[in-house]
Amino acid sequence: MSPSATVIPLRPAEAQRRSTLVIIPCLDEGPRIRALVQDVLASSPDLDVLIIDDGSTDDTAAEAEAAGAAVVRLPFNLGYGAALQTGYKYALEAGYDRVVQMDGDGQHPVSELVPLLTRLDSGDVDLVVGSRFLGRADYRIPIARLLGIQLFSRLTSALARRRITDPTSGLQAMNRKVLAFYQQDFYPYDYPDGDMLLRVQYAGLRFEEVPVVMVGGPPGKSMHSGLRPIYYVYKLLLSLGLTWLSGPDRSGDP
Amino acid sequence: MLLVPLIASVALLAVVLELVRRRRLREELSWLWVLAAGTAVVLSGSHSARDALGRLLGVDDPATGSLLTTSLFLAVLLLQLSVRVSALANHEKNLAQHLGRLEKRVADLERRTDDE
Repeated sequence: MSPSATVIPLRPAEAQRRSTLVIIPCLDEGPRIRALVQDVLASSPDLDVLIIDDGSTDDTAAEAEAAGAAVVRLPFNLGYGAALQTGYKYALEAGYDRVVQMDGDGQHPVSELVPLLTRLDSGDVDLVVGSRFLGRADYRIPIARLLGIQLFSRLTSALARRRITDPTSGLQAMNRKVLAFYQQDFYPYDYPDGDMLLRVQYAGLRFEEVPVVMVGGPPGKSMHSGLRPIYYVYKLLLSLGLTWLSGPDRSGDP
Repeated sequence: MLLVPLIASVALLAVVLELVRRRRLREELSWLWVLAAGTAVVLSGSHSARDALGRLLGVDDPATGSLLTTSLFLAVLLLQLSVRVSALANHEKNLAQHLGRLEKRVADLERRTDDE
């Protein structure tokens, strides 16, 4: 049994809480995070911002708080997926109706948040995924990475029997059904990807890709550097295959 | 009888049991060690046991049979430990996430108390 299931649920009392939470997982984004938080808060009066500080060694948390964000500090680095899941748990406990997640490195323009939420508000989807391949990537994606994304988007599309163009996109908006689904222990520590979209589909939740523009993050910062791409390919093939083999009935309850 | 391996495997068995007695090795993690050490004692002490094992595994050389058995034990031990580590890592992740949210809640409560 997971520890979270054995404790009294938290109910963060936010007197001025809004209905939508923007989740931004961060690792050492001190130089950029203040401006990003300010931009998000200025983009719409209906947004709260939660920074999940995934074990930063700089002043990311202080800068984010100074800009007006709520901050959850993880005691040590857990990984991108686990940091996101921390945000989902926080949002569900705090009673938010909708969540948008975006990266803290500036790759996702703030102007793309509201269109995602507008699509989610139509009510016929539970999860909206921003696709740079339906829209535009205003930066040069390294050829090896592009080939990898194309390969996995085709593989995920084949397994899901529908077109999925950008399974690696970290720009997503979701409702409480998806939030509850993502609380479970199958949610990956590191890179939630096409395997999660497959799980979402198998769980009977509805998702849709919408075109977005993405820009380049700061130079030298990538989650996929060094030997990580090799592990990433292995992990994703394994996870996609096992999720597909599990099928719709055994991949978890929404 | 293989005297040195026999002494070594008896010593291993004794160490495992002593670790369990001192609560430095949990019972649920000890059974494979006890099984491995016990098997090593039997194989070291009995030539016919080594021959039987060789025949069972389809190898002519009893030493090869013992080596295969040892490898299998080690693989199972490592698998058991990997499963344990995976479970612990999951618990660790959930605890860290919960701790982060709790600290946030405490900070909010402290701020509200200060304001009042």
